[in-house]
Amino acid sequence: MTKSPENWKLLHELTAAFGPSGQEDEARRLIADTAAPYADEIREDTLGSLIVLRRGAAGAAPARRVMVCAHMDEIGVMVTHIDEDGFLRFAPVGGFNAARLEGQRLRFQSGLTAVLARQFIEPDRDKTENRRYYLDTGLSPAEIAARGVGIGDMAVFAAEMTETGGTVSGKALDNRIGCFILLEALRRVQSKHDLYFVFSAQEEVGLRGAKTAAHALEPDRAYIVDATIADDIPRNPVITLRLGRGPAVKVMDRSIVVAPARREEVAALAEAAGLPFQWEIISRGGTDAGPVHLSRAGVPTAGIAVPVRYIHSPAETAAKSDIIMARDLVVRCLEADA
Amino acid sequence: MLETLSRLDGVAGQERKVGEAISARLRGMGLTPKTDRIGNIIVRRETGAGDAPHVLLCAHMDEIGFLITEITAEGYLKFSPAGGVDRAVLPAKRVRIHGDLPGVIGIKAVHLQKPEERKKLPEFDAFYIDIGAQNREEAEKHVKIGDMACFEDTWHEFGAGLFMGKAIDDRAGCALLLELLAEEYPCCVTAAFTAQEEIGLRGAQVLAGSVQADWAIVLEATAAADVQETEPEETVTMIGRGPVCSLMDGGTVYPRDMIRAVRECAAAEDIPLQYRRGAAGSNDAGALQTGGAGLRLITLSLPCRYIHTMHSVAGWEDYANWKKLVIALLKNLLPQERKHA
Repeated sequence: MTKSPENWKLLHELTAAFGPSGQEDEARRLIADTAAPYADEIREDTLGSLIVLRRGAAGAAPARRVMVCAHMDEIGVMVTHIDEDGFLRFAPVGGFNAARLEGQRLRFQSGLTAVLARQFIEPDRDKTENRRYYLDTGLSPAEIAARGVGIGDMAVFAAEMTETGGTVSGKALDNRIGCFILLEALRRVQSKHDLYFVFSAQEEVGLRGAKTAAHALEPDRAYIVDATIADDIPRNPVITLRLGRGPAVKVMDRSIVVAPARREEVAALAEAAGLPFQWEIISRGGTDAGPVHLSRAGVPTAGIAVPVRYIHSPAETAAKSDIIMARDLVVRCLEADA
Repeated sequence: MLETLSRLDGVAGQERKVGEAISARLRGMGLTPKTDRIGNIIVRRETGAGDAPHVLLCAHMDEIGFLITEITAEGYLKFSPAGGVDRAVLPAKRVRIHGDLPGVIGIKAVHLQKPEERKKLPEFDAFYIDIGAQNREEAEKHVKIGDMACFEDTWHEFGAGLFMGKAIDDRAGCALLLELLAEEYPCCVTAAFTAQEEIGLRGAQVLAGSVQADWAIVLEATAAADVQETEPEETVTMIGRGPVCSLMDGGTVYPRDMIRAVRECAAAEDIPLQYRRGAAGSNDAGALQTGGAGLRLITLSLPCRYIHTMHSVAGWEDYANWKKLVIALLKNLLPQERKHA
């Protein structure tokens, strides 16, 4: 592996890019530009996923078609109503829990920012429903329109990524970390297989982009690279995934039970490379691994994830060492003969 | 046509009568409809031009209803809901089985209810269908377990150009689709009348595996909530404000450039247009968009109050504007969409 300083500036740019599910244009453009020097072919599919082909070494033995997939979309909100005072109502895009996020700043693609606030609610009424919340831009409806925001537009967290010691923190680490790993792997990997780097769209709203991409690519193997929930928080009696203990190798989530041979293969590669790893078993939430392993007649699929604390917040937090080790593990998977 | 279709019975999974009526109509128009294995009715109409884009138009035939699960010793019929049935609309409503056997949904009389029972809605298993049978033997002469019941039709035109009836969701889409096939377009059109939408977009999943189209329009009926005590931001859609363009729902985030094309087309043609201001629910678009390698699509709907009840209310003016909009899109949207083909 190269000893050059790690490219954290790229991760910073990736997390800054605007890209809620279905409106990933900005993130997609950045990823396409970054991938271009190392790609043999780049295309966008119907649902908005970016597919980057890196051909296997010419003349090599029969090569596989290997899909490595990270979703590029992030959670956010979509404006559904603007009232006469300029307060904006919204629908969640993906797992957006307004009650947990009151007071946060959100940003539209046009640059307009807004604060997430809660309407007046009688003390004994339910405060958890998203419909009790609104966005306040401080502008009138006419001014909002002039700033390029209308019904159907989406907003994401307005948050800069920060680096503190060995951690990074910011919005959309889920899953720009995965995009970062794929881009860094693309730069480094030497494989005899045809590698399809898929930056999938619309994962957060229902694992949609990976489904159609897998159908089109018909891969022989697939690796899904995502962010996963680190639960190493104070007073948690049963901690399953910790920051700094290496990447998570998927055993199961709500969308897949990884075939033991597939996860053992990844584990063996990690061990051979001296990379620590943790097993990932999550009982809520699915991943792109779900639709991909069920595509057509089935695709042997494994998952590698980076543990992230405070997932789906503006301050998702991860360990740099886990990201680097996950990258190295992904490279080894893509170069493996198996 | 809408009245005729609304009056037909076709609970999800048993749409055959509706499919036969639609097929007969299509054959009358000189077309050759096919029925696939799940019961979708599909008809393809070519144009002369070889490179013409191919557009899929889709409306579902099925309606919500009840599946008979048990016949009691007293001759009552217990049932499971098929699709999104609201328990609140059930008590004392007329239903029918096999199109002609009348029944009523029974519930304990108010006099007999305990005070706490009056305060809360009974569960499905507290309801039953009463077909006037004296006992199980008599009931079994008319009904088998697995038969389906649907709301009695109530078609009625009233008010300022409004109509009410059962199954407007989505016989309105079916009726419109039949009318649309009477027009000429510069594109190849596949019209699909799908089965089993209400129980999980199932016909559309099968359709997605067989149909090859460049883009699609899903024609639906959607909830209008312009009713008392609904806050403006929660109205979803309103009757009289024109056809409805979906932005996002539980199954689909619609492509923004296609939404823009709809908006520009409506403005150019002076057709009123509203957006669906809610993201709950889903329709056939969800299955079609992610089927195969994916499909670009939009959903255009008729706003409909009291949807999923036997008295769904919608308006003729909205219906006419809906039709104008789809025709204009098929005639004008093409250059923009050809690029994506």
